[in-house]
Amino acid sequence: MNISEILSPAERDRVSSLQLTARQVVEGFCAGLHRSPHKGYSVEFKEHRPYVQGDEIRAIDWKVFGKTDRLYVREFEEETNLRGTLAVDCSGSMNYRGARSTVSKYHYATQLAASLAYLMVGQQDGVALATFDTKVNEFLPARSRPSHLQAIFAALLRRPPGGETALGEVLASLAGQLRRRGLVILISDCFGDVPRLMHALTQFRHSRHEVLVIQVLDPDEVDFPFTGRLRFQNLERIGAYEEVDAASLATAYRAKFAAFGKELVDGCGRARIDLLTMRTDQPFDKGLAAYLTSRRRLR
Amino acid sequence: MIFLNALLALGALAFTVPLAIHLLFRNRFEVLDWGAMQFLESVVRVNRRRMKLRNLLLLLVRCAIPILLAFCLARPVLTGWRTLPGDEPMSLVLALDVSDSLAQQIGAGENQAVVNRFQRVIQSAEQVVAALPRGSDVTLVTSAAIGNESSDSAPRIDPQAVLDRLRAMRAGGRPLEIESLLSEALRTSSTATTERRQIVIITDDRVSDFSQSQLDLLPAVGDRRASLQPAPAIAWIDAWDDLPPIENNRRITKLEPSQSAAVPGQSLTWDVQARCDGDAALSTTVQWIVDGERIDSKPLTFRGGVATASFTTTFDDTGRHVVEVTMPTEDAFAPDDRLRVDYRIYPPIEVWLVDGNPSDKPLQNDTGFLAIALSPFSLAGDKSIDLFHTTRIPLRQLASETDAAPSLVVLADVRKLPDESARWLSDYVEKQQGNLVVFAGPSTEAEVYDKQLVTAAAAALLPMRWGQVKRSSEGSAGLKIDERQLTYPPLAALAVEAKGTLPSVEVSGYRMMLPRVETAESQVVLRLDNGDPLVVVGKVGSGQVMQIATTANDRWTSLPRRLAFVPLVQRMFMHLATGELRTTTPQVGESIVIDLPDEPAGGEWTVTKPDGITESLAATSAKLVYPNVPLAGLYRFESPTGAAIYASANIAQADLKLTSVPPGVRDDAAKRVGAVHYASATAYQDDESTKRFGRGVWRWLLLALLAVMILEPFLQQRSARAEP
Repeated sequence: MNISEILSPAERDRVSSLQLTARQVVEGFCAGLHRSPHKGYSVEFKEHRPYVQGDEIRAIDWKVFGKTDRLYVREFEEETNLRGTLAVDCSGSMNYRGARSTVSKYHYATQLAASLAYLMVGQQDGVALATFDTKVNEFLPARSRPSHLQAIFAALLRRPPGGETALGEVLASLAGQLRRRGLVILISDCFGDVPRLMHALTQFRHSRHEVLVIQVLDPDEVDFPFTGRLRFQNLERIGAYEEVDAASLATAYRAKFAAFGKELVDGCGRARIDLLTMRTDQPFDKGLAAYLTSRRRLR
Repeated sequence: MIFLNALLALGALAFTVPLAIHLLFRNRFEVLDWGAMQFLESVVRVNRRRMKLRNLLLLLVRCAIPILLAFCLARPVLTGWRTLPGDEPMSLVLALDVSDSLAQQIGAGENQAVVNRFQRVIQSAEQVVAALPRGSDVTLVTSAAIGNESSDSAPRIDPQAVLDRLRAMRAGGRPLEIESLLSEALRTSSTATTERRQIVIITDDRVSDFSQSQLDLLPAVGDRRASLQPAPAIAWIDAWDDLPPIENNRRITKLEPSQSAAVPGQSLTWDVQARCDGDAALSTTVQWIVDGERIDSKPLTFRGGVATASFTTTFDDTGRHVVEVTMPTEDAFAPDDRLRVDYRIYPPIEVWLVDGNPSDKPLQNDTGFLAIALSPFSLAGDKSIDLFHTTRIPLRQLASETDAAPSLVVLADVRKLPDESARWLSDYVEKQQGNLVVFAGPSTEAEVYDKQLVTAAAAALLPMRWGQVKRSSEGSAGLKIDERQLTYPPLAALAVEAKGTLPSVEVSGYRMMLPRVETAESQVVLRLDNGDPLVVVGKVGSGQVMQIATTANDRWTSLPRRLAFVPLVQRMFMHLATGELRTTTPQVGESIVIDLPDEPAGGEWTVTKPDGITESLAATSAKLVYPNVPLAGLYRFESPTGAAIYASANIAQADLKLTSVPPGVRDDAAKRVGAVHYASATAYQDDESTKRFGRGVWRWLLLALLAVMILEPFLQQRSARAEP
């Protein structure tokens, strides 16, 4: 499996110039770009403490000893790598592709996931992947080796989207598997029960994970530009459909959708979760670049 | 309900086309795979019922279009409305207003044909007659024929003949009298031959036709209608919509001579006055026509709505003449653009004045004032010709002047008459159509007069006996003349023209006039304000006697010094001598009366009417009477000997008032006679058709079709548009 199956060279170039950094401390498994809760060896001085027996002699700050005639040990902050977990929605609704988009929502999501994985591996961060619909279909633990990317790409492309969504339940179960603090990135259209979704995401927050929700939407789902007699076949439940005169309910649909969007934004805001909404008719790399740039400024 | 074109009703089956289309396409949807169903499902649940209702309504509207169209073409008729047997013949009395006011033009706009009200009446009448059931009979009653014995009132079995007659009719005749027209129609309808009787009245809805007196008579007409078995139905039809007022209508309002009567060679000035509605400064010409021959014309310019002109004319022969002025205007109502006056030229009237106190000094005798009043021009040495020729006759010569009897003999304060004079006067008045005027005075001996002219069997001339003299005391004002209730024509006319003159006259002395024992044909024509008679006129034999209680000079009364004296004396003497004050010009519907003193009685005359049609007319005694004048215009009466006399008739004054009656008044009038009012002949026809055959509802269906055709795209658009 090659990255070129998901990202074009140009997209890959643009992504590789970005940098994803955690805003809060994360617990990595090797030295990296991100702040660690542990003390270690780095250039960042943290504090002096009195020498106790057993401390390394090289850690004694002799300049302080010369001034105070007491032994003090210099301590430094530890810098570690990031454990990023990409949770990608593979439910049937992600398979929608409108007339104004060149790719389906799922394809767009895989492009985002691949970009982020490529980006994080490129900066020595570990990347885990979980694909799910009503349950976690596949879970790849975090690794930082470049060869791990192949496994991630294969997992993304292995399973076509389908089935219903149970975001809340899936994320709740996923939260139990992520014991060490890291960055959880949810890539989904977030269709479903918003309170349950927010409940699950809050669990991540309680486990001191940083959470980023990337909502992928098709412009048709936002604008509902349909007219005439249409049969809407449910992408998640095979055989279910609604026959409607589209124009007569467009306004009501838009109102409903707007209420859903507002509920999601409010929920994320309350849980201090970043929400990035991306439309499939817009280039994903530009949207991602804009977000990551602003994220760095806010660090 | 029945269909006039039942086969076309099958076209309603075309409703299956939209129904089939609906059913075929009901399950045809464009399929779309959709992920965001959670938002759609809740919305669809709310909108599904509304969407179904709207689709159903749209289906119904689409199905209704071919159904309504087919039913419309099939001409459905609701027979439940039918109240009369369908094709049963009826007896129709067509009562038409054909008066001159119908000459008003209507529809004279740029793109409209110019027609007048009369044409509309005829068109409406034709419409009514043409729709009659087979076998019906029609009787025509017109306002012009009311009171005309020669009118043809027999039922005409063939409506076609009535149509021909209607087309040949023209406006004219006496003004409409609603009550008379309806009464005549009822009378005619009572002799109808069929059980179903209908009166259709088409009138000229003008205010003057609906006077209160006419309206008061209508309930009686309604009662008469109800009492008839079977009672005829009355339909009152308007033949036109509300008419706008005529703009800038010009009319001649006055044509008056300077003198009420004239003699041959006497110069007369005629004043012409015309009026114009509106303030526009218009100019026209006025033409002067005498006996049908155009003599002169003058320009006429309206200022402030009024224009005046005058013509001078002289007649060389005695007899009747017709003077006419006309304006060649192009306003919407032509009949008031001309006016005619019948004028009679008399031979000079010979008056003998017998003075009770002759004197050579001017105005010191009893007849001086009279002579001036009767012959002012000759006494003044003027070249003008007087109407009266006065001659002072000494009392003693009265009986000897027998060669040429005068028209009038005046006795002014004559003390007593010689017996031969009294006998001559009696013969003159009773047998020679003579006229006698007797003035009282201080010299008059009442007892002698009683013997000679009251109680004498051979010469009972005076209508009243002389009584004692009454004088007002020195320094006190005299008695006044009672101006109320003046019915004697010369005095009534003077009271109007010289209003206020007579009350200023004072009478300081008069002789009482006492009723005669035996009945005399007399009339007190003027009284003093204390009720005592001042002037009495009595008919004696073939002549007349006027008895005046005061003096002819200013000894007992100030009247001779008043301006009214000259016209008063001239008019009273004229009336006595000629029997008429002024030759009156009749109006349409009245009678033309021509005196024929010189013609042999019983001759057959020929009348040429204004429309050129001639009739024969029999003269009775010394008069020629042409009753119920049908048309305004010049009439030529030709005697068996070939002599021609002209007379004329003007349009009736009532027909010059063109104001339409308020609808409420007309409806009230219709209600009083139990009539049904219709706005047009078409409305009447529709109602008749409904009563006979049922109500046609295709118009309603057409309206419904239009409504659903408008509704369909509206619903279509509404379905295709997003809901607010």
